[in-house]
Amino acid sequence: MIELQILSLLILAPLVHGWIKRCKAYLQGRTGPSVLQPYRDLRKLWRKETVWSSSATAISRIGPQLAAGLVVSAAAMLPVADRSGGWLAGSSVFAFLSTLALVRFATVLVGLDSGSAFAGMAAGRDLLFSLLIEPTVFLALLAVSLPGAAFTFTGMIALQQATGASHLAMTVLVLCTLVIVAVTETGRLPVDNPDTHLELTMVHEGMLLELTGRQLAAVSWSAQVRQLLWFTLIADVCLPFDVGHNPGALALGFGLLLWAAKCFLLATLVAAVETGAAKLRIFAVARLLSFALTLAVVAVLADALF
Amino acid sequence: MMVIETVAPSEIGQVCAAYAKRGFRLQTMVGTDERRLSGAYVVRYLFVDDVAHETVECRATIPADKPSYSSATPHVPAADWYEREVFDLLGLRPVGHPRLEPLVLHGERLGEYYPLRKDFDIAAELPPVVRRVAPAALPDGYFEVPVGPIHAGVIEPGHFRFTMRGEVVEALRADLFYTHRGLEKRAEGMPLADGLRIAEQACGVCSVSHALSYAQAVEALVNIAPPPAAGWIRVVLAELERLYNHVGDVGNICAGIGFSVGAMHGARLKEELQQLNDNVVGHRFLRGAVAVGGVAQGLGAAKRDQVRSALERLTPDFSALADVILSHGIVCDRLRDTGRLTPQAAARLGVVGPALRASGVSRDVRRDAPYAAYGALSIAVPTYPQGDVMARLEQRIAEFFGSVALIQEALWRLDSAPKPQPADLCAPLPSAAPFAYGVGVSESPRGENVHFVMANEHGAVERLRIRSASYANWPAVTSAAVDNLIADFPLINKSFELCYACCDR
Repeated sequence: MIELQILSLLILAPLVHGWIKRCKAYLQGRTGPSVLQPYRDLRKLWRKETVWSSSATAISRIGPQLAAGLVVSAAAMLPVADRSGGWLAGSSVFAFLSTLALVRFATVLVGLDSGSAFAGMAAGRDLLFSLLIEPTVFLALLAVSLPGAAFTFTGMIALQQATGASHLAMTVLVLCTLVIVAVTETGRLPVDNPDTHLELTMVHEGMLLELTGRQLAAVSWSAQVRQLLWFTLIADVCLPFDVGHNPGALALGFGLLLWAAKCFLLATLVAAVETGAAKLRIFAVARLLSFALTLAVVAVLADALF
Repeated sequence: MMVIETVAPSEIGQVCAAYAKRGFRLQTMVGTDERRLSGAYVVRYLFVDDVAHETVECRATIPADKPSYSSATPHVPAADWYEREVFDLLGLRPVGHPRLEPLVLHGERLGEYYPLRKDFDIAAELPPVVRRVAPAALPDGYFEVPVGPIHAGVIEPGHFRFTMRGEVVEALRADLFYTHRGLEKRAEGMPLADGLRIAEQACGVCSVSHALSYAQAVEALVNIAPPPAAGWIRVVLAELERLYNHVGDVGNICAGIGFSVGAMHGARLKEELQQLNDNVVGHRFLRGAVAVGGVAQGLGAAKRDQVRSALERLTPDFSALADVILSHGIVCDRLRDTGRLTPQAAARLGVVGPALRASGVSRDVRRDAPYAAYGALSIAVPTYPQGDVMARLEQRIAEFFGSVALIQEALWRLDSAPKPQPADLCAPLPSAAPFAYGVGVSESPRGENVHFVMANEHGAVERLRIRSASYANWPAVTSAAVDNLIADFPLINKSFELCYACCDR
């Protein structure tokens, strides 16, 4: 039944993206596009002609497919509604985060390969943020797994279900940390503005400026999946109710519904944060991320001391 | 009071330098082809002293067989663009100009094609201009970021070339004039009253101000004054234009940093003000409201009430929006110290309007050289000393409330005056003396717009020179961007909110 869960995640990712857009539009007093618009955009891009930058090499051709393939592998490592075994790489945290790092690597290469100055600057900024965010993620997840010493997602879910209530302070701290991480990793305000047309300010979008057609569809879709993966990770680690062990068909269906509800809730939260925030100065992002790091350190300490 | 000083072409640069040294500032510079009249070209530099209210015209007659004169730019940096433009379009060479690159044309000059010369037919085809971009020789660690001329947003075209070191802008060069429409050439030969239609379409968002500058130039040329009721209506129109522009600019600054609450409410308020324009004048951009000699239509009691009730509704809204923006931590952090323009740089470059006042210089055409009915009003001129994006934002917020007060006062004056007859709205236009000229100045939402109009022997337009506020301020944008993060450039650009079309004409 793992395939069904992976498939739901891959299929639902654009919908979550559309939902965030719709919520933001509502909060800004606009009607906004339909929640299905990301699917239509992907279909449109898939049918479009591909135009290559004059400096593009094979990297631009295979990079987007590689990124898409890697996010599918990452999706196969993260439990959605079943914490029993069978997930790729034993749902190891290292494997999952490394796969996401490889997705970023592929995207950055594609950006650099286009030869556009915008993409080069955007790649530099993206790598700067990743440098600041990666230790924080590991530390936050370490805080969760420290009591049980299982550095896998399935292990963490089981541990949180069993003892989470007694580690409430730690869980809340980890939740706050991971929300900041997710906002950064998904390229949202106050770190990056996904809706801007101002190339000079872009981070994630900047790397995609020279892509067209199917390549752009692949990278856009993998960014949407990556976003849902982060929401799922937060749901798994901090809100793991009803992630069953080898659930039956009915329990699995219920688990999937509950997972979707948690993800849409997080998406709504992100939309609210984005509406109230403005974009930080690039070098002030470091302050926000060191705040996240501090939260993670305190979470580890909260674990060790209480 | 205009003093005219006629000097030899080889001395004009020095004479201009002397005036600049005495505290005069360059208001505009015009080159004219007067070979039909005197067999020569003429360049005129207009200098003003805002404190003593003096205007000086330095004029040099340039023989047609030796079309060159001494450049003022080494001593008066603000003359840079004017002299390059006169070289591009009239072929008069400013000798001693430090950077005589093409301004209106990109890349290369065309040789003997000078569109503003009288013997150049407006329908003639120009040869294609080839633009060659050579890769810049840059030291290690530096790179170039070319942006535009076509941009991702629905904005006008302009090419920007940043020299970068990491995220910091070391130098910026802006190539504008992609929207050069030849308006000044087109206006030549049109009846003086009709030239207004060209002048007010120089800019999309400063139509009233351009129309006023043109109308005032013609009124000065034929020596008439608009009737008093027209003066008050002109005040209302000019201030309505300032309102929707300033509100839109405040929203746009928020959009530059992704602050959607500010951007969306700014857009909403701007839309409501433009709908008010449409209801009152019949045009969202207030076009067709000003006429040479007065105004094209009255402002009846019902329309005055409409303006009043709209302002009563929108002013508290804007006030609340300003509070939200100015109390937002990230917004304040982004705006403070960004894109700083020092008063010295502003004076050197000849900056005008809110951008100048936000650098601490108190100058406003409405107060210093009153036109329309501004002379009968007391104009408060707020200034902010910091010269950063925040100051330019606060400047616009303060000016919004000033404009609301001026509109209310003007409406009240119109209320207490008897109902005007059509003759009270527009003075008849007498015929113009051949080769007489006039200068009209008005304060647009972006600053001083200066129109120079010369009549020909048939009472039509001989020469029109539009010096928009954007033309004066563009060099300040490139100067203010240096040493800032490149990601702040859109914000800095929006804080000046300059127009490309009325700069390029």
